[in-house]
Amino acid sequence: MPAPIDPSTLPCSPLNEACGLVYFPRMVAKIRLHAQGKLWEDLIANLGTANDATCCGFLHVSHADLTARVLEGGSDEEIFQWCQEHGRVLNDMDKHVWNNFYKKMAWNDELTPRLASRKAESGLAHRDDIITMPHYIDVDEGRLP
Amino acid sequence: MASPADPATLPCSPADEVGGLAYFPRMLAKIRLHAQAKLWEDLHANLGKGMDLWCCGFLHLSYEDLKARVLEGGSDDEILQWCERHGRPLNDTDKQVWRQFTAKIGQEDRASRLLTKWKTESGLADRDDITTMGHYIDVAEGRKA
Repeated sequence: MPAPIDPSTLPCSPLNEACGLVYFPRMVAKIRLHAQGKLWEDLIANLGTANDATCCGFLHVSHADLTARVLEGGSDEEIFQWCQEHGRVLNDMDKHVWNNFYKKMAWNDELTPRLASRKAESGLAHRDDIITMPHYIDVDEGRLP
Repeated sequence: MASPADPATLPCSPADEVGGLAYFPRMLAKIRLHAQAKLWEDLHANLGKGMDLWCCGFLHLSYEDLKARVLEGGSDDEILQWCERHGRPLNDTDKQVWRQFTAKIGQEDRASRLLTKWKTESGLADRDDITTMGHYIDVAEGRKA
């Protein structure tokens, strides 16, 4: 297994929420860490793509516009409000749909092969209990055993 | 297992899509069949609830408004366009997130207990391969073995 990652280079868990929306705080934290030159290098390639692109697509904002807003400063909640004003308003059902979609990502869907590939790269191929992408991320980044 | 439902009383599969939106055709078909007094009676109790309610919430519409529009007539595509005008527009990510969400309902979520109950009531308690509500519905309504 690769050497442990410096915790100061890591964003929060993908399952953390801001204003009831999972993944949003992680996406924002990645933008801040990258701007400071501190983001774990393994996360740089996918910045603004993959989960970030899906989350921005769901918010109806571009990652470039979100990045610019994040770098102006403010809390996660303030940035979420900006997304609601510049993208579209999310109701409780939208958040429920997004949260369940995200929590089950890679579980018997088109990302399942990608999850298997990433588990293998991280020396976790034997971990049959890891069946979703957020669980993999939390284990890979050391938040879960 | 209870005797099979008359196919003429059944809506389409929950996995069917219109304009890339899963479940939507089934919800409309249920409204039309019910108005014609043909809907399978097992589907009456949840009309406008459960997945109907979630779908309408995601569309930012009330079920009553949608029902009134369906009964005015028109194709599924035309009604989806009406939904996008009167609720909110959906982009490709919205449809992808919704599709994955609906496809996995019942997998370790708030609907899991109901899925277990329904499987038992339908004589399918031994079917460990049925882990989602969509799969259960297709089996219970005879579209899948």
